[in-house]
Amino acid sequence: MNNMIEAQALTKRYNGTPDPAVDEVSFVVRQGEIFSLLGPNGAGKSTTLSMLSCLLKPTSGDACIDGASILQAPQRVKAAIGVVPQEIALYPKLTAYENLIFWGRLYGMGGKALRKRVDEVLDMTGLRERAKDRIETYSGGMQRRINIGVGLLHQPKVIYMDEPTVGIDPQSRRSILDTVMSLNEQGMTVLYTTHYMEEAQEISDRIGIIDHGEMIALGTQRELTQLVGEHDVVEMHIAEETSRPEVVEALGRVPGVHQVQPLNGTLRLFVDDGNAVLPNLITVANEQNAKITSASIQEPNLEAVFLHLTGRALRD
Amino acid sequence: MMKLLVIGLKDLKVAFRDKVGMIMLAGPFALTLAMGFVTGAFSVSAGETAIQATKVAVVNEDEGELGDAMVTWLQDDSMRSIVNISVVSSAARARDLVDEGEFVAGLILPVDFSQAILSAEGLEQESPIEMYVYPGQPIRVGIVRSLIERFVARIDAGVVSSKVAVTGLIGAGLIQPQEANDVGREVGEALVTLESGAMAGITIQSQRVEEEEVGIQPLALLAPSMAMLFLMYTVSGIGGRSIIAEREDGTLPRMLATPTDGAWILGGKVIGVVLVGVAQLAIVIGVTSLLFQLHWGDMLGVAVLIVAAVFGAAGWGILLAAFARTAEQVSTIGMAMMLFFGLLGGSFFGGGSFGGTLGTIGKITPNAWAQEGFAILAGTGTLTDIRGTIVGLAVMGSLLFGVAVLVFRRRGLVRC
Repeated sequence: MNNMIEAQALTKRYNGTPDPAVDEVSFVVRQGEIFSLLGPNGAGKSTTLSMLSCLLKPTSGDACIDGASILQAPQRVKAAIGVVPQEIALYPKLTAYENLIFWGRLYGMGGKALRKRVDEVLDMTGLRERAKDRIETYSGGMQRRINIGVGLLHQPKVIYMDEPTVGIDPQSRRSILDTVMSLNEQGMTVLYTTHYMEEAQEISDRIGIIDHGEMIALGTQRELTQLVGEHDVVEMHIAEETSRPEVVEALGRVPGVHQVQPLNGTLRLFVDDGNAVLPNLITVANEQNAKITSASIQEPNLEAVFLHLTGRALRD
Repeated sequence: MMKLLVIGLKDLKVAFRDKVGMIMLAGPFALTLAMGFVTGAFSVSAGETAIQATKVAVVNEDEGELGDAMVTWLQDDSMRSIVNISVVSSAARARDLVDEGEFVAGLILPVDFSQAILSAEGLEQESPIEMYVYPGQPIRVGIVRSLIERFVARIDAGVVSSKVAVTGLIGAGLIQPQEANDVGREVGEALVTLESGAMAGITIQSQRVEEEEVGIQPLALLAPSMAMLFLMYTVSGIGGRSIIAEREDGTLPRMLATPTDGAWILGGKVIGVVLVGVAQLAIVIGVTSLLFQLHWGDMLGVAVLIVAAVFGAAGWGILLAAFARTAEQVSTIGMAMMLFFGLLGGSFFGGGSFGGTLGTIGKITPNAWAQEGFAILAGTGTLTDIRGTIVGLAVMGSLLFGVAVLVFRRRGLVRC
C-alpha cells in the first residue's frame, strides 16, 4: 500500500514560547486508511494539520503528500488535499449553491463540470432541496455537512478533517462519522483529528496519540491498548476523610490487583477481571472503614492508554 | 486572474446582502438628502444656488477693453449669487486680502490682458490672468476658475469670428492685407464688448452652456462630501474588516488551503473593496442625477475619478486591515478614520478644508483630492482638468497597497 502522507520530524516553534507547538512529529498515512490524531486541546493536532495544508511553514522537518513536498511544491499539495476546518468556513450570506460554486472556482473548476459536481455534492450531503437557501438559515448540522462538502468538491486524494464534530448534536455527529466511513469505503484517505476517544476508536484504522506537541504513541487500537496490558481498570472514589495510606496498601494486597494509582482523590486499580475483583475491593475498604462514594470498571481503551502514558485524562 | 474576480465579486455580493453593508451603501445618499433639506439645498430650483457667493478681489490693470468687460460681467446681477466681486487698487492688496483669508481668490488682469488675448497668437496662449487663491477653499476656487475659463472661451470665440470676418473683407477687396491686424482687433473687441454688455454674462444659445454658466448646485458639493465620508468607512469597515473577519471565521485560511496564491487572494480582496466602493459612489451619483437632475459634469471624468477615489481610499482600508488584530479593531479605527479624514479633508464643510499647513496635510486624505476633483467636474472641468487629482489618488493608493502587502507578508497572512 502506498503512503499518502509522510511526515518527517515536523516541528513548529513560535517566537516567544519556550516549548515547540509541534516537536519532531513523524508518521505515515497509507492510501485508503483513516488515520486519527488523538489528543487533548492544545496538543498540537491543528498545528500539525496546518503545516500539512501549507498554511504554516514548519520550523524544521518536511512532509510529502501524494509525493509532493509541502515545502517544495505547496500548490501540488493543495490540489491533492481537501480541508474540512473545525469552524464553519462558509459565507452565511451566500446560498449553499453559491458557496460551493465559489469554492469550486478557487480549486480551478468551472463550467458544466463544476455545476455537475456541485449537484453531486448536494446529493451527497442530502441538501439539494435547500441549495438555494442561504447558509445562515441552515441548522448547525446542515452547515457542517456543507462544510464537509466543500472539502470534497474537487475530489481530493486525501481529506483532512479537523475536529469536525465539536459542538454539535449527537444526531449530526453520527451523520458525520457515517460520512467519514462512507468516504473511506469509496477509497478516500482520511486524516482525522479529534479529542474524543470514542470517535477515534470507532472510525480509525490507525491512531496517533499526540500530547504537548509530541507523538507519544502510534498504532492500531489493539497495538495501543496493549501498551497498558490486558488489565481492566477499577476507579474508586473514597471520601477524603477516610482515605488513608493504609487503605491503599490494603487494596493493593487484594488478589487480582496488579497496581494501585492514586489520582486526584480517585484510586485507579489495574486488575485482571474487574467484575470478579470489585466485591473483594469493597469488602476490604469496609474493613478499613473507608467510605466508598462511587466505583466503576473500565475495559482497556485509548483513554487508559493516554492516562497510562501521560498521567492525565484526555478530557483534562 | 479569474480568481481575482471570483473573490471580488463574491465580496460585492456579500456586501449587498449584508444589512450593515446596505446601510453603508445607501448612507451617503440618505445623509445627502437629509443635509440637503436641513441646509435648504432643495429649496432653490435647478440653476440657482444657495451657497454664499465666493468673495473675489479683482485688480484690473488692463489697458484694453477686455478687462473692463470681464469686471462688468463678473459684477452683473446674475453673478451675485455666485461671486462677490470687490475691485481693489493693486495686485499686492489683492494678495494680502487672500492671504488674510477674507477673499477666496484674487484675479489680477495684467496691463496687456486685452492685447495678449486678441493678438494673433492669443488662441494658442494660456490665459494671462493671474489667479491668486486661498488653498483651503479648493471647491470655491474651482468655481472661480471655471468662470474665468468660460469668459476666456467666449473671447476666443470672438477672436475666431473676427479672423473669419477679416479674411472675408480682404477677399472682397474692402481692406488691404496690411490693415488686417488693426481691423481684426477692432472687430474682436467690439464683438466681446457687445456680448458682455448684452449678456449679462453669457446668455448663450445652447442648453449645455447655460447649465455650465449657472455655477454649481449646492448638492453637487454636498453629495461628493458625504459620499467620500462614507466611502472611508466602507473601505475600512466593510472592505478592510472583511479580510480580518475572514481570517477569524476561517474562510481566509480555507482560501489559502486551495491552490490559489496568497497574493491573488489579497488582490481579490482589494478588488472586492474597490467594487463595493465604486458601487457606493455610483449609487449616490446615479440617484442624485436621476432624482434631482444634479449635474456632476463630464461623465468620463466622473467615472475615472470614482475609480481613482475608491482606489486611494481602499489603500487606507487595506493598510488598516494589515495592522489590525481583530475585526472589531478595524471597525473602531475605521470609524475614527472616517471622522478624522472627513474633518481634515473637508467633507464636513461641503468640500472646503483648512488653509496653510493643515490644508496641505489634508492632502493625505482621499476626501480632499476627490472633492476637489468632483467640484472641478461639476463646474466646467473635464478629465484633463483633474489629471493631477487622478494621479494624486493613484499614487496614494499604490503606496498604501505596497506597504499593506509588506505588512501582510511580514505577518505571514498571505504566505503560501
